[in-house]
Amino acid sequence: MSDGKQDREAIYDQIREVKDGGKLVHLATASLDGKPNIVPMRFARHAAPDVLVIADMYFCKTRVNLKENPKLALSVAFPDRKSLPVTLHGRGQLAEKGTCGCLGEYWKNWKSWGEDNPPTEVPEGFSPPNPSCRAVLVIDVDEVRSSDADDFGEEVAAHEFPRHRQTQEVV
Amino acid sequence: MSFPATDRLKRWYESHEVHFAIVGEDDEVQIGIAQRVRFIGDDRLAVEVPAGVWKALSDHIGEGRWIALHPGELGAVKAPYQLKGIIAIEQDRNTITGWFPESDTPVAILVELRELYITKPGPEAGQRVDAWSVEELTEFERELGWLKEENL
Repeated sequence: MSDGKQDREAIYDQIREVKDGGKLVHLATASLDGKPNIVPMRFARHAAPDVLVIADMYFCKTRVNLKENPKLALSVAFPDRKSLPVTLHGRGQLAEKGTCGCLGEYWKNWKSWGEDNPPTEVPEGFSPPNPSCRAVLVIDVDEVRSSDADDFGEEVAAHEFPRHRQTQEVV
Repeated sequence: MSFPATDRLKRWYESHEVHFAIVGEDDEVQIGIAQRVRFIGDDRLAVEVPAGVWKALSDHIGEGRWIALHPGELGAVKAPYQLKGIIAIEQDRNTITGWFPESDTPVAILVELRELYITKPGPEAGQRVDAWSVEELTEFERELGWLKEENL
C-alpha cells in the first residue's frame, strides 16, 4: 500500500485458512443492552472485497445479538495469532433460506461449504458431530486493527468500500 | 456466590492468552487480548490489561459493565468455555503485582463472574452451565472426553 499499510485483501486471504483447519477466529457480538458474547468460529472465509462470511453452524446468542446490534469484531485465536495479529471490525447480516437480493446470493454460494469441507484435525470430543450450515453471516469489514501489544488498536490496512454495500445500493 | 470453575477450566484459562469482548457507550464491540489471567477463588478472575490494550480500549472498559472472555491459542479449540461477568478496574500497583508478579502492567480488570457457557460446536453449543456445581460440570467434562490425558 502506498502509505505503508498492509493490503486488506491479503489479510482476508489468510483468514480463508480457517476453513481448511488452520486459523480459528473469535467472533464478538453484543446485545443492545451492552452485554457482549465471544465465541470461537472455524468456518470463516474471504468472500468478496472487504467482505467475510462465517457459517452459522451453531449460532445461539450470536444470532440474537445480530438482530439487535449488527456491530461485531473478530480476532484470530488459533493456531498462531502472531502470524496474523489483527482484529477486524464491521457489521454483520445473516443470509439464510428465503433471503433475497445480494444477501441471498451469499446464501446460495456458501450454504453447503460446511458439508463440503468438514474440519479434519479437530481433537476427538471437540469436532462438530454433523456440520450443517443454517445461515451465512455476511460481514462488511470497516476496519482492520493491530492486535500486537505495541500498537494495539492501530489501523493496519487501508479502507476500501465493501462491495456488498455497493451491490446493495444498486439493488 | 458459588461458581463452577473446574480445575480444567482454570488451568486452560491461566495457561493461555485470553480474548475478551467489551461494549462501549456507542454499542461498538471491541476485542482485547490479555496475556495472563488469574482466578481469585472460584468466582473472580483477574485479567492483566497490557498498556497498549488499555491505551486503545480504556474508553470502552467501564466499571460495572459486562465483559465476555474466551481462551485463545489452543484453548480456543480445547477449552470451549465462555465466561461473562462484571468489570471492576484495578490500578493499585501492589494488588496487581500480587496477581501478576511477572508483569509491569499498570491496569488489571477484576471480573466478578456471573455466567458460564459451553462453546463446543454441536448440541452443547451455547449451553449455560453456571448454575451447575463443580462436580456436575466435571462429570460433563468427563462425558465429553475432556478429561482424557490429551485434552487435559
